[in-house]
Amino acid sequence: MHPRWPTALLALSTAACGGGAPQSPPISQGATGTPTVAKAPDARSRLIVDRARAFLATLTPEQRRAVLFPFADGAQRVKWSNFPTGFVPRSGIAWGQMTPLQRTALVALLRSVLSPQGVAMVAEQMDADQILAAKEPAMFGAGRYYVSFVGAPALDRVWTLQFGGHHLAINATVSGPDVSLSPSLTGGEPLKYEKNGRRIYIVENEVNQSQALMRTLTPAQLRQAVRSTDKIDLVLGPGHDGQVLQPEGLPGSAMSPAQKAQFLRLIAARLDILNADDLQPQMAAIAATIDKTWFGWWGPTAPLGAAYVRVTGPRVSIEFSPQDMDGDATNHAHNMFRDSANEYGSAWTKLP
Amino acid sequence: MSIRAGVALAIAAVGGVADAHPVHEIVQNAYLTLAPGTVTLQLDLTAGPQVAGVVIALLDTDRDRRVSRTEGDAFAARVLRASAGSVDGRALAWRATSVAIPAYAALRGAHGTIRITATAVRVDRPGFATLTYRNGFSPAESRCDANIFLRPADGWRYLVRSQARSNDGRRLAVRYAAARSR
Repeated sequence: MHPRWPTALLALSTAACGGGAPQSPPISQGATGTPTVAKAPDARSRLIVDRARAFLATLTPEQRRAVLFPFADGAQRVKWSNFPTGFVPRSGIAWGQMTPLQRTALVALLRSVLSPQGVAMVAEQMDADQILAAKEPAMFGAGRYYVSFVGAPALDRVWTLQFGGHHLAINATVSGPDVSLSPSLTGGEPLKYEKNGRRIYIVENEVNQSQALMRTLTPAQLRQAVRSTDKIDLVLGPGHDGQVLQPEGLPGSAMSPAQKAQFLRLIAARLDILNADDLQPQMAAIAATIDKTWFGWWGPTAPLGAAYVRVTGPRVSIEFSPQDMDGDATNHAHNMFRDSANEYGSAWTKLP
Repeated sequence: MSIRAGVALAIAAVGGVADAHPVHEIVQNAYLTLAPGTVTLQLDLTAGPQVAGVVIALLDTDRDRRVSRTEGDAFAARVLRASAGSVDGRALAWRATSVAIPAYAALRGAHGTIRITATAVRVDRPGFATLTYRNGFSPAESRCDANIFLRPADGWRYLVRSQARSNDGRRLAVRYAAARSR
């Protein structure tokens, strides 16, 4: 099937997601051994589970077998990468293998887990990969993004929705009323392009917010925050689960109230791909520990988006890592979000 | 610095877990982990396509387009000889524990990462100490970074007080506190 993304789906999914989710058959595969959760689900997680089940209901038995993994499957849990699927194969079902009905149901699910900005970012990433596909169709393209589940979607079980491909790994763990995206990889290439006459810059808000924070810093604060004039590479990408970066740079405790507010805007610019209901408590936890959250900068202060930026705190780890490949580091980034206190829902359940 | 490579050394033909996209340089990311009685060094090397040949020449010394266990051992020993570490001025003696070499094509195509893991013995004492690290492996232009990680166990806890690094990322000094809880 020719992979067609995604902007059109952004429009159709609004209508598709407006009504109640269709009833789906009970799910047993993947549930065995999945830990139960103590907290009751809220309206958002009910919606997410309904839409996950609705998506699964559109699949053939063979596709369901391909997409559902037991919660105990630790290998599948960490099977994500920034690399294209030609280099690092993913499991599940590819966008390019789905029917229009299945795609609509999947976008509805993504819309329940993510914010409108998050869904737009996913669409832009897939559009960007489609641009790369014009040169190397065997390696890139919107059709090469995969969905899978670690643990069967359920209101009373912990489970993870995985969606990703080149430069994208959304790992959304759902537990009762809570959803976490730790760890998730974003970024993209090209980050800047035009679509239908509209200028796209996938990470524009985040680079603007980091630059805005830099502009507020005093010379003494800048000396603390800037760790090097050379950018470095991503540190805690795929294969580095469980590792915790030690704080470095300028702590929130050394910032003015206005600077702290800007620091939180920078953090929110990365985390706001999550739906608002689940984002709010996470941002509240980060705000409560902002004095112990640090801001670090490696690289030049211009052009915009050319520096590696790091945020480290008790409840948040963010890396923004520009890549030189193809000549323009501002047009290609590998970015990570982690909450070391809750990777893959480890705060809610003991991971097998 | 003494190196005892070859003991428990394994070469894995792995697809690589690379997340870097270097072009004209080698990305060298060092992961240093403090654990009771040891420091572990994990060095990830990803060579860009313009310098991959330099690294391959150091690895595949018999030019048969394969990296043997012996060649991997020798490469790891060479890298570790250029990796200096100390705790409170006392030099760390790295012992290689594993070497993971990507497939030849992945090395050539710059989408594979060489991962060398080594450990060094040190002594835990309550109080402050300083760990230093210097990466001197430089067969081609490189982008280097080093970071410290903590693995408390057996009652030992660690807290990083400060970090100082060189602008080129090759040197890292970590001031840390160690404490024992019962």
